[in-house]
Amino acid sequence: MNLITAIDVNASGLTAQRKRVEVSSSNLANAQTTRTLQGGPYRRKDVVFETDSFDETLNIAMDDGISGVEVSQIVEDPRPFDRRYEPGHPDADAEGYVAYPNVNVMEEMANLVEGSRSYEANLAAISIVKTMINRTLELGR
Amino acid sequence: MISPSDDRTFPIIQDLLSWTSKRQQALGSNVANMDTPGYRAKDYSFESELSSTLALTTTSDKHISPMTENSNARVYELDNPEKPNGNTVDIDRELTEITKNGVQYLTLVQYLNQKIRTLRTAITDGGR
Repeated sequence: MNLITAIDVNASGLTAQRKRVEVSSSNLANAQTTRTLQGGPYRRKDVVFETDSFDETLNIAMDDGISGVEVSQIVEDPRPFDRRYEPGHPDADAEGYVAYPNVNVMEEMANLVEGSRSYEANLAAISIVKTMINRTLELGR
Repeated sequence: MISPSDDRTFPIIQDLLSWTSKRQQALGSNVANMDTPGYRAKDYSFESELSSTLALTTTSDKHISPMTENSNARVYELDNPEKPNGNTVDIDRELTEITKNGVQYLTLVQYLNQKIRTLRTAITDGGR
């Protein structure tokens, strides 16, 4: 059904934006983390959005021109770590420098706001489609 | 003499509803991909579709054929300015169009409802 697909398309937007906000939150939470399981400081992560023209709910390829979105991968930011001079820090190197994560707090805040706005836009679209479906169901009453 | 099977309203409204919901998908897909790098905003050319339906109805009373759903050719890319990541979605435009398209759909449903009500009045002999 056409309108259900329209909801699915925007639902994929909700999922993708939520993922983005999650990753951004993780970056913020770990903005000062100098120890990770992989060793070394936390490296900033970023999501890659990709169009997705396959409808998993209906298990069919969607029509041309209609595509959802998905987070195809989560990549690590290759930018260098932030080196600060803190000789007393347990993770300081021989010269007294500590490598802090390459997370820019301002950048993450902007990312969070953008993600939540995009989420709202998808939500608005879904609620309009929902009204359309409800009205159709009342047809002929 | 009203005969519901002769009535052209139903197939036309049905097609329009089908097109409006189709367009809602395309617009929704633009919203979902507002942050996807390289995504080109798309739309259905609904107005031209509408006029060709109406043109069909005027050629002959007997030659009404409901539109077939052959949609691919009617998708076109919007020529919005490109953002640095190659994305051309203008979110304000999309949300406005989604609202307009939704209202259009609801209007059609409302019209259909009125039509059904009229027929029902005739069937039930003036509601008696």
